[in-house]
Amino acid sequence: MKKILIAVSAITLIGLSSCQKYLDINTDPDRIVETAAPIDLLLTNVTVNTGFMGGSDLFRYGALLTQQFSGQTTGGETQTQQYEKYLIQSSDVNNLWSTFYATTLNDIEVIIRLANAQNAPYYRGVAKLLKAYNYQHIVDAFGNVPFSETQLSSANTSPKYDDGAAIYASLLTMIDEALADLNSTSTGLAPGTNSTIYSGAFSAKKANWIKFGNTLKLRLLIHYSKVNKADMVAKITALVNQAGVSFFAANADNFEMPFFNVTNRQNPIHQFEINRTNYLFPNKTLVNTMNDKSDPRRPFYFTPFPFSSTAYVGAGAADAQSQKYSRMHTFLRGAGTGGTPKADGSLDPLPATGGITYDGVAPIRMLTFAEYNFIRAEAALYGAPGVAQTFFQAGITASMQNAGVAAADIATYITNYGVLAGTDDDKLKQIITEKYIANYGVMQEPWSDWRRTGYPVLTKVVNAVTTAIPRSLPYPQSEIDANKSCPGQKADLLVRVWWDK
Amino acid sequence: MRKVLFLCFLTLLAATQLVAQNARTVSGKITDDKGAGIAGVTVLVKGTTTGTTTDAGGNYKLSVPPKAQTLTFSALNFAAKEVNLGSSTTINTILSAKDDNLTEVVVTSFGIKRDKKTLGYSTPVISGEDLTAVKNTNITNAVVGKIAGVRTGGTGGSFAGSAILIRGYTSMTGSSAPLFVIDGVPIDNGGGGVALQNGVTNSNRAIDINPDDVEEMTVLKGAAATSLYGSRGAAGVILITTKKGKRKSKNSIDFNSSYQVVSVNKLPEYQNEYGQGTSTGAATSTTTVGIYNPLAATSWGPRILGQTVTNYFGKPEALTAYPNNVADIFQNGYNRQNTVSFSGGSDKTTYRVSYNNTKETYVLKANELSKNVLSVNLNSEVTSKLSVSTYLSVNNTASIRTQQGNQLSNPVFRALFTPRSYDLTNLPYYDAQGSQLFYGGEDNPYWAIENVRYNDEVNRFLGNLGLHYKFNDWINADLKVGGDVQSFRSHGYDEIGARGGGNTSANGTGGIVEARSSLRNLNSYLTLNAQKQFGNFNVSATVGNEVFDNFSNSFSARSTGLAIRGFDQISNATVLNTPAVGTSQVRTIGLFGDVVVDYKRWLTLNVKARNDFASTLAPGNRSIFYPAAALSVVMTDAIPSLKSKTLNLWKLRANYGKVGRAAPAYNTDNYAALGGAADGFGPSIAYPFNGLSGYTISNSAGNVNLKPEFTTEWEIGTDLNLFDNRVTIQASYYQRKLTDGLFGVPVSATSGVTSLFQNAGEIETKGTELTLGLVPIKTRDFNWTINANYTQFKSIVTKLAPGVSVITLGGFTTPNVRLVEGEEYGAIYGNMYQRDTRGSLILQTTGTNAGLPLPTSGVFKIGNSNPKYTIGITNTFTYKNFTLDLLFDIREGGDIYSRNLADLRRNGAVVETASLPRFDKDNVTPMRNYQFEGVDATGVVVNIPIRADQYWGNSGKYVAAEGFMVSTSWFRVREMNLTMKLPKKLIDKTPFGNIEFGVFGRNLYLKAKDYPHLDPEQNAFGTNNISGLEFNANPSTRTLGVNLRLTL
Repeated sequence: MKKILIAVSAITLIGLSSCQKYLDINTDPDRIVETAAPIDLLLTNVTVNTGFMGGSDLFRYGALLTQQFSGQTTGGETQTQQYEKYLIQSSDVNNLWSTFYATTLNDIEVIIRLANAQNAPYYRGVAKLLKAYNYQHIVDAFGNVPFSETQLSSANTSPKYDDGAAIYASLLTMIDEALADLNSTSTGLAPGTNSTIYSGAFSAKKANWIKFGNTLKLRLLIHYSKVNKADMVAKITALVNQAGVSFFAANADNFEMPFFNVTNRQNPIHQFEINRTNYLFPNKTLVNTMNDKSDPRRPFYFTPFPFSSTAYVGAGAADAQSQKYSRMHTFLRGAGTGGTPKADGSLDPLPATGGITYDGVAPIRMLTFAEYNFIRAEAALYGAPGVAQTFFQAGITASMQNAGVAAADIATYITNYGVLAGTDDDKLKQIITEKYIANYGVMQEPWSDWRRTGYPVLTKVVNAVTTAIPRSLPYPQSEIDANKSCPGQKADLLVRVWWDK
Repeated sequence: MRKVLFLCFLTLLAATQLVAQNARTVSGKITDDKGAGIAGVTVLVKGTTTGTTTDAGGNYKLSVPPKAQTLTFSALNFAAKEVNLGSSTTINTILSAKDDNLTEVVVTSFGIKRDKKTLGYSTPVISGEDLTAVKNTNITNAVVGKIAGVRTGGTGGSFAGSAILIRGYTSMTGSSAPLFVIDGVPIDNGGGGVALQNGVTNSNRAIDINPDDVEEMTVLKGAAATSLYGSRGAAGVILITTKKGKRKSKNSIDFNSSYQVVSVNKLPEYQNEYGQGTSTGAATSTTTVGIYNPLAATSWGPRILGQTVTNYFGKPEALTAYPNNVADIFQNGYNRQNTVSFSGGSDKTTYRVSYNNTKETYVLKANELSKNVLSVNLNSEVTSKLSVSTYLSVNNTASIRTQQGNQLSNPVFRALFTPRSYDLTNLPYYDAQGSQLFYGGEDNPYWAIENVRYNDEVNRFLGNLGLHYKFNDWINADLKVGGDVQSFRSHGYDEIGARGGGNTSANGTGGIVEARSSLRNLNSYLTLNAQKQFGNFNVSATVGNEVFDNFSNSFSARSTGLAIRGFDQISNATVLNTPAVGTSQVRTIGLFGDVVVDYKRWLTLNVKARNDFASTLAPGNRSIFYPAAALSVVMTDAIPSLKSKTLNLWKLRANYGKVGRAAPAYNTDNYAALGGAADGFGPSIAYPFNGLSGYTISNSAGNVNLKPEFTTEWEIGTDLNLFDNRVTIQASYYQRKLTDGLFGVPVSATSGVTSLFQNAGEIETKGTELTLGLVPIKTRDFNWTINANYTQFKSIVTKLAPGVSVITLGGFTTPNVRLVEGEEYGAIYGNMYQRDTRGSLILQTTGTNAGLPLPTSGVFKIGNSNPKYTIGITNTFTYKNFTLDLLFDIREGGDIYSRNLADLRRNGAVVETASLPRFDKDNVTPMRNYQFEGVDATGVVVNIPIRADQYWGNSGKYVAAEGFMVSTSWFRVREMNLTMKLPKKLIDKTPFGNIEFGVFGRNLYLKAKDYPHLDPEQNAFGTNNISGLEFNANPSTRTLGVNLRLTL
């Protein structure tokens, strides 16, 4: 008996001594530990997510609220119908919020950290510009949001909420820091073809990033129009007069992300159209505005209805369930072929049943040369340098060229509708209405312009669940549940962001 | 195969001696130990039903068949006795008063056998016969309704498993499923998950077990019972003991064959009065009233009067109702099972070899499961001290399946509410090129069944080797080494033009996904056991160790953009995505000890302890120690005067136990992994993107400071046997608490991560369980026994992480399933109707939706999926050779969010939507015969009549998630089984030792008072810990079958 006990104890002891090593297996072989994450691959994912978001949730909210699109259905009530009647719930925006903060901005923060450590100012500059761009959208959509204490992981899981105006000021500084980084001389690592936006050798693309930085500053500044016009005019004046400053000068400069004719590499607006057939139709507010002026962009923006005609028909909230409308077209979905209409003149959404086959390579446009011109036109109207009308016409021209409109048609349109007239407010209405048409497919900016200027004039939908058109998104449910510093849910969607007061 | 069987029969026939003898009469007198005759003693020829009872004086006379060898004598309150017949014709015998202390042995941890009477916790056992009387492909389904303290949840759909939940939730966000153990060695029971937005539902892997191989199944419930199984036993343990050959038995062949017809349990009751068409439109509009619309998914169209309409194909047709257009999608499936087993044993060695073949189809075509299981049990006494045992099982399970869940390729995603006038059965659904033709945005169900395909196959090897060494008559050692090795492959194919996500989310371009995974679980146990009597004290002790190493690896390649229609080969794909890989490896070393001391078999104390060292915690936190103790007192033995004819046994028991559990693998570090983009609506970006790869920092942060979580439990209980043991009661009350619960705590995304793995939560469960046995009738020929069990428990989330008030377990924006501090585990949240302070609905008074309610923009608690209690009642009637079992399954409470039910109504498909006329006699003017009760914003009562389509519509009843909630309370006849054993007289003329014939059924009757049209036993999350949501579930089934068992 004793012998056995001794034997068992001996075996156990030997076992225990090699035990630690036997148990040291808790490192996942299929992932990279965070500290070894590669800066270039992180940037790829940041630009992919930035571009994708441009055609995703926030794009849909903005486009439905400003009546560029209408939610429809052939079955049960769709989310787009709910959003269109202003039923946007706190949990609807969870995904949008976490994509911004936990994916895009968190990866940007790691890139900035790695760039500091690896002495790579070009990476830092690009990362900071992307950070400013993404934060601009978060503030515009939600108002006061966490900014100064974010992305600290377990060190701070309840970042405080910063004032939107203060964040805007920080973003302007951030862009200046980014531009300084981009203008510096460095032999360190630089983004290249790994960036899906302005992809290419950094020596060639550096100028694009710089133009983007300055144009983004203009967009941020014009957002001050309602709350501090004088300061905005002064700052824009100083910026455009700055020596060596460069802005977008052609559609080739557009801040946009290209896509490819490969499944799951296509433009997300196009993908949504395939995945959620009949969820989104062009809205009659936009379509009729363009019909009124026989806008030559319509054949690129919309399919005709009936398909064999040259007429364009938009849908509206609470319209009867039908597919007898125009659909979004090549400008948002890329080149299309085929298309056999049904007996009622409508077009099926799917190629297999008579729909048009699109290649899905249209870019997601996030800040365009057209928008630059409209910003300058508006600023000029307020007293900043330049002639409003010149920029106004340049904006229309850039937009039409971007859509593929023939030069003669552009000239005709400019002749008929390219002249600013009336009071300053009439002119503003003309500028913003044209900007609204040009920004078809651009995330959130039409909504921001409407909130700032009241243009284009929109009427609350007939089946609205709020008393007026929303002016910001609700805080996400995930945030209310998990962030102790969150001030709590807003009273309603009519709460205004800081520059809308 | 047949030839082989035939040869086997012949061999055995030759070996059987057939000796002709004549029948004779035997008589005698039965007396008690004082010499008084006993009346009513049952006298039986052993192994038959031939018998008689004694008269008032204890005398009997019986004609016995020629082959009879033994008589059995039994009577209430007397110990049964067997007497060898020999050649005598007179047999007198004495029966002694029954000793309640007869030992009933149960298996506890590691095959340690314990006297049931001395256990300080309850250990319900289900015999193999009870498990297999009603044939189930999946053994987990056989547990349903049979054990107190165990709640099961079916998932619906094809070859579904059941989620087993024992005594409440033991994990914050992870699985609370019990550990399956076969002959002392844990096995994998993974799978069973449901893809909510993509793909198919898989079976849980217990489906690989052949139920005919199971001798019995023991359920260890509480922490005190399971603690020796270590962390994996924290949620309870299901011990399966396999059938083995019996010593000194002749070789026998057992053949068991069953065939079942599988049908849809319940189909909706449709209206056939109104045709395809959209909702009647705006209140003010008269233009869209009841107009036929060939593109509509709804049945809000005109009254069906045979009028001519232009259908979806542009052709004129007379508008007609097709009452069976949905029913025709479904077929009758079948389930065919055959098991043949060979067993026998010498005085040293026993064997059992069995082979099972099962084939099952489902009520939807293209769903089929086939299973082959070969298992071998060998036990041998090598020397008088050393014995060896092995169990080896080779399993092959293959299936084909259709898509499930909330996606357009699920054949019943919208088919259940097909417009009543759409001839789904006969209209074409593809053109000459194979392109799909269908009015809807989803896949035509027939097209989806043929063109969105999935198949998988598992090859599995389960086995263990045991060595038992007897040092002397009181000390012995056991070594057990076991393995569970699986290789899995699956293949999904989406045809070009598929509209739904299917297997690959190919956006209609067609796609193929190939997945492979392998799993290897190894376990080893070494235990040293001793047992010795010291005067009135009996002491037994076990010390041992366990080492396990669980490894799994998976690989999946998804390719899209098929070049050739119909060519199901991955080389046909033009878009290749970066393959997904996953690895998990967990190792644990455990040391444990178990000491039992009993005093005169009425006072027993059991103390246990275990210490684990787990690989998933950082070196400093690896050691996990946890103890348990159980005490039992048999009052009727402690105080013999208590014992009477009324009170036969009274036992009190109490126990306390704790089980520690380590984290899942790889949660101690932060990682970067392959990225991508997606928004939950279908659009997504995958890598490689234009030749680039993209990495992202994982949204779930690890934590090097993780500690183990603990489940602590105490339980008190009592066992009572009353009225000559005709009433037995076992009752338990317990409380268990999870502390330091490990999970990925959701944190503000603004921190850069969305969850942080940590020790945070607490769950407290309080429960009562009751088992009642009744023998209302007991006569020689007819017996009626009732076994009822009652299960009630409530798991309350008592603590979440600091600053976290809510954790969403799963679901959508609305509804979703949550953990909320202070609420029951798995509360269902969603938006509600807007109400005023007095609770009245606030109704709109103007606009198109005047008279209709409004939804809240926030979400609130709208339901609780946990039933208040469940009851299972098994009635067994035996009459001579017939046995009838009826299992009633009662569930009270438990809510579900039912999308199918809502769809049937909001699309105007079911009968209640047409119970009031939708149009006036002119068939044009809409009727307004519905009304919501409510008030306007100022509290004034609103009286606005509305139409049926408004009432049942998305702006009416279904405007808020609250409207989708229904109670699942049910009464059902879960199992029925009628078995007839052929009388010995008849069998004697055959070469068989036993012939049994049975008729059985499952889900034969269902009454769910709040849940019309469909079977409420559904779960969109499969065997997950989340329940209460149903999203376009595939129907549950009813089976009816026959069974034949032959023993040679």
